[in-house]
Amino acid sequence: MKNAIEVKGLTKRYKDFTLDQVSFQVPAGSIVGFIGENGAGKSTTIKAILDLIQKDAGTVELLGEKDGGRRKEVKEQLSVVFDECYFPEGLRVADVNRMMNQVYAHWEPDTFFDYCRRFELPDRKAVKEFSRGMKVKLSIAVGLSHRAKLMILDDACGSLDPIVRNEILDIFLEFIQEEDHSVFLSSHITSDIEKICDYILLIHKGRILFFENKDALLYDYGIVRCTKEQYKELPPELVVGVRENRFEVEALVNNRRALEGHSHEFVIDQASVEDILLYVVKCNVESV
Amino acid sequence: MRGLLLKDIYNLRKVGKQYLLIFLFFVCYCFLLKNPSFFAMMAIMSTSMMILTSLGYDEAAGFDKYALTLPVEREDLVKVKYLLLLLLLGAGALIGLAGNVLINLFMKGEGMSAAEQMVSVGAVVSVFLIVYATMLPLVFKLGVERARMLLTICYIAVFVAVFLVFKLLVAAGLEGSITDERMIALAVGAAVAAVLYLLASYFVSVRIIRKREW
Repeated sequence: MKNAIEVKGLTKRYKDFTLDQVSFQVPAGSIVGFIGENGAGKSTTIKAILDLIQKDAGTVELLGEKDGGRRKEVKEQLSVVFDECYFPEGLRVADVNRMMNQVYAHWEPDTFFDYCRRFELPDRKAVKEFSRGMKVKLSIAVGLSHRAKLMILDDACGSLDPIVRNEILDIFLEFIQEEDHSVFLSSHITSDIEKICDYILLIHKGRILFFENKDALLYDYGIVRCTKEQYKELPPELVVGVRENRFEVEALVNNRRALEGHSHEFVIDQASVEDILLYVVKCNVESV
Repeated sequence: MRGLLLKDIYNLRKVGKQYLLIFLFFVCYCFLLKNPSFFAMMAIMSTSMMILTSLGYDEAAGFDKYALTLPVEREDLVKVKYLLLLLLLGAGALIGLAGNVLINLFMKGEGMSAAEQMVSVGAVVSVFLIVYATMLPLVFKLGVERARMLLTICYIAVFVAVFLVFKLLVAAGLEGSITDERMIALAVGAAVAAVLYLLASYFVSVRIIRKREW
């Protein structure tokens, strides 16, 4: 199996929004970060992958199985963590363990309780008494306790404090040490994406803007700070986004090495994933 | 499936205790009224109402969306609720019968005959089967909250229909001709009709859940 997820031409039409011909893949053994502003189509894409909504066009291959093939076997190897915990509120940790023991063929109670202890989840309290962060940690503990090969997280880490988030990111890195394990992580926290992801997928208004190797992305992209006159000298094909203030123009370029031999010496700063997201989505080139 | 059922049972623990209190109140009430048929009805009504509580909890938590990411089919979400309904009705019927026996002992044999007790409990179970078989597709389509008004109408409609059938029997002068044997035959017929109706309701609910989006 080359790809844990392979999406081709995925389309879903709503009255006011269209997920338009989305195509990408999550290579096995990698972490793919899925970014985009609110309403860009991240959750719709994930719902379509999980068959929670009916797609209008396109194909989805999960763990080598196309469009719902061997659905139960695939789901045995799949962990999904949403931004909220969907366990009914009357359940306790021990109840979740007994329930999941019946749900998953390869449920590992010891692993589950280890994670619960590690996440300091109270075993006597019902889910309704858990904080939002605790609920997400419970979902993550479940997700890591049944020998899953693919984890899909839909903005799951947003409600966690930085310390726990950091710990969980390390757990994801441990998880993908197995070469056939993969993570597809949708998040608004671009620093998390930058920290652990191998690839970055950017969606905007229902369309994929790019799918790039993170290291190559950070290596190639840069922010040029210059005057308005100097900006006009920049090769337009390199400029992805631009913003202007009273003193200077800041332009995001997609190949900073191409500017090295340029007659004018530009000041080029390293661009972060957050910069790239902001420039690509918000700062269009025509505004200057 | 077993996991989903376990989840429902764990989730209903607390509310089950509340229903137990209400139920104990009815036990005392029926002993005072010396009316075992009322007791059985209340027992079955109390237990079967927990199916809506269970659906409401799942809806509030958004559980179905999460459940579909587990090795669970869409049909299982429907199957487990129908199974839970049957278990709840069964539990209500057992409690109702046990209560009837106790009240009969208390009334020193002046209460209902064994056949009357069976028929009475069977008839109540059949009525509630029809009520919930009508409600469940609505709940799967609209959700408990949105379907609440329709549920109330549905509840009232089924009870009015049963009441009218009974009144018609009385008006036709058939009440006196109902022997134990006929009563049993009638109850069995009603039970078979209720089960067939429940089956039809199940398939409608499955069709609804197959098309649903989260």
